[in-house]
Amino acid sequence: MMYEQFIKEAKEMGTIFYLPKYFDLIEDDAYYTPAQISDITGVSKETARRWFRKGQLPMEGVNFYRVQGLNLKRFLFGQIWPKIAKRFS
Amino acid sequence: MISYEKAAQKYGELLNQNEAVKRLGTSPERLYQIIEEGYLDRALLVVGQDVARRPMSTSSRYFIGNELDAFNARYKMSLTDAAKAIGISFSTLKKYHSKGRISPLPGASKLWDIFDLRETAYRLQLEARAKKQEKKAPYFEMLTDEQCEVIESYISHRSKGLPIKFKGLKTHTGFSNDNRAEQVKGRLAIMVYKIVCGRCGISDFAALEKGRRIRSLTPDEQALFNPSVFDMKDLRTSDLDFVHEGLSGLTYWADSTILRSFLIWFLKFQQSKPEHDRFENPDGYTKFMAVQERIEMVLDDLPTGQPESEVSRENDKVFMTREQILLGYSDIMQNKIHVHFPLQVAVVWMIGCLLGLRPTMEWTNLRIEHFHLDQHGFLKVDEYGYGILNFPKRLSKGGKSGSINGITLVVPRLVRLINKYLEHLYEKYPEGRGKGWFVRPIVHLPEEKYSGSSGTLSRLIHRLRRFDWCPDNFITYDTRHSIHNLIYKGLVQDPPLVRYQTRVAQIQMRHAKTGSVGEMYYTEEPTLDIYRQILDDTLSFPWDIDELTLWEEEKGYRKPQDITPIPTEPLPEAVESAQEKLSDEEQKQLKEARAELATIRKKCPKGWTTVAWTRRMKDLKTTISALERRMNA
Repeated sequence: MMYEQFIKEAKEMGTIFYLPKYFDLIEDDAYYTPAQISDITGVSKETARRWFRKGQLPMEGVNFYRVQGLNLKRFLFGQIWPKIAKRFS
Repeated sequence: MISYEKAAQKYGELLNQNEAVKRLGTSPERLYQIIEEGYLDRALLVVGQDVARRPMSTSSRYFIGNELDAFNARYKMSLTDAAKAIGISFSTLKKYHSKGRISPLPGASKLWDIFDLRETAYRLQLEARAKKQEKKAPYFEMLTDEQCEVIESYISHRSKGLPIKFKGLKTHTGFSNDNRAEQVKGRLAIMVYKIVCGRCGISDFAALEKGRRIRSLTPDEQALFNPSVFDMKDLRTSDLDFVHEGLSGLTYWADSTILRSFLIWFLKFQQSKPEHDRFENPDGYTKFMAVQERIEMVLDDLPTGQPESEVSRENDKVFMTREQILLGYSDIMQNKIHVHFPLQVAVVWMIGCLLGLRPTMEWTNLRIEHFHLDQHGFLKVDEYGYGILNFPKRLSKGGKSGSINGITLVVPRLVRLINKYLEHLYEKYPEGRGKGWFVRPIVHLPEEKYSGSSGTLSRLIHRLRRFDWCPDNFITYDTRHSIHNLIYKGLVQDPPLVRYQTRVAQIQMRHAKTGSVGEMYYTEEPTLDIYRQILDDTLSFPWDIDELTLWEEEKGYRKPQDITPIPTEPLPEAVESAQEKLSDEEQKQLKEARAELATIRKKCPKGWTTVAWTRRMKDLKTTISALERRMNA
């Protein structure tokens, strides 16, 4: 399931609580660096950088790692969806 | 022996050993065991015997894909997989296994045949449930035949709806439903049991044991227990102390209403006997007068009203807000109340809050087929997403509170939740599609229901009391109080519809029509469209707390949120015409907030923590959206 579809359905059914709390700390239109991603999600900065290196997180800058909040949410949602899918559906 | 190609044509997909191991999700060693034990004979083609080897292949046997799938669908390699396949918890199956009630197929491979397992496990669950039910009412069996006969006669007389009157005393006729008749019978049996225990000198007989049942008698006490020490005609006021033992004031009051009705019937029953006829048998009549005198003294001693604590509750009802309903739903769905099947409790909660079914009798009497269903067994919806419940009179309170004109509207979000719940039920038990009890203790037993008096569901919902949002005096019936209050006090947007609001509240509650003569007899019933429109403005609210806030602001249920001033330097910017609806100060605030957001959203300002930065952006967005909403109002 895509992040946007999940949000739409979860809001409709009042089950947005399936998303981890740190999603509240990510603003769709703000930009996040590995340090901030590390602060928010609890992963190490190196892990966040690896996500950029592997192309899992789309870079907004040319020579630095920075991702838009919405894209970060989409990626993180893809990581947690297998865990919450059964409860949600 | 046929060639590989011909075999492939004949049997379809053929797999080699490695592929078969993968398909079955097992190990090569286990696969050999299964082959050795002959369970895969139908799927196996031996090279050189049944089929020629495929060119460039070293396989000594091939497996027919379809047969392998059929094997996979029937046999499971572990009890865990079997539990998943038949939808019974692993711990239950493990318990049966350890007791030797179920066992794997013979052989070292320990396969589980889920067809047999399903049948056996369902039967065991039914037996366990029947045993549990038996345990619930053992008291009747402990009484004398005469005592049982009297109680049965009373139940039978009252079930027929015949009048019960004796010298100015009268009582209810009929029972609201069969469950109630069983309940009354059980309560009367317990009362007689307690009186016998008391008269036999057994002490502390009403102490409760596990499962909140009255404790069993010890062997010594059983020897003392003699039901013939008590004759109904010999009931005395002192016996009421035994009846009262171990009961709260409220339960004693409830029991005393049962006893009062029974005793009035009993007097009438005794009076009508020929041996008590005044003219035919004067001695018998004198004896009856003595019985009457004693029983009248007992009747005088029974409590006449509810205990004080309960009467005060009349003024202490809880009327939940929409937000409280949603917080309850959210806590249940997150399983903060620690239940086995949270979705079921959440559905019951929302049905209580939005359909107004009475706890627990009507909750437990609801069947899937009471909803209007489509061909797949899910709720059918109209063009606005509403579903329809036709709750029958005979299963409602007193057999009088069925859906009015066969229609109780189900709001769209509740339709979706119910369908999600049904999907879960059908997944576990596909044969039960479109029929069976809606709420049931065992999912795959659709015809097994919670008893009408079951406290299980209400106890689960009582667990919500420990959360901050839930008032301490909340009881499950408050779900029903709340729904009426929400419709009755709702702000209906279309003024001509307001005059139907009271009636729509009655319809949703399945209450009888009340009001003035004009309202009762000379007023048209609201159409389905009006009914739906009123629910749109009162009960069809969003289930997301943030969206609910906006919805309530939009409908006028709450004032727009207060806007916290944001202290920053003003930036020069042209004032838009739409902003004229805002005061100068608010316009300034809006401009500042927009400017600051545009600046900080690109990069976290130096010295700020990520959390502080995000919180600031959130605050700014809240302020902007509140001001914009006011501007566009």
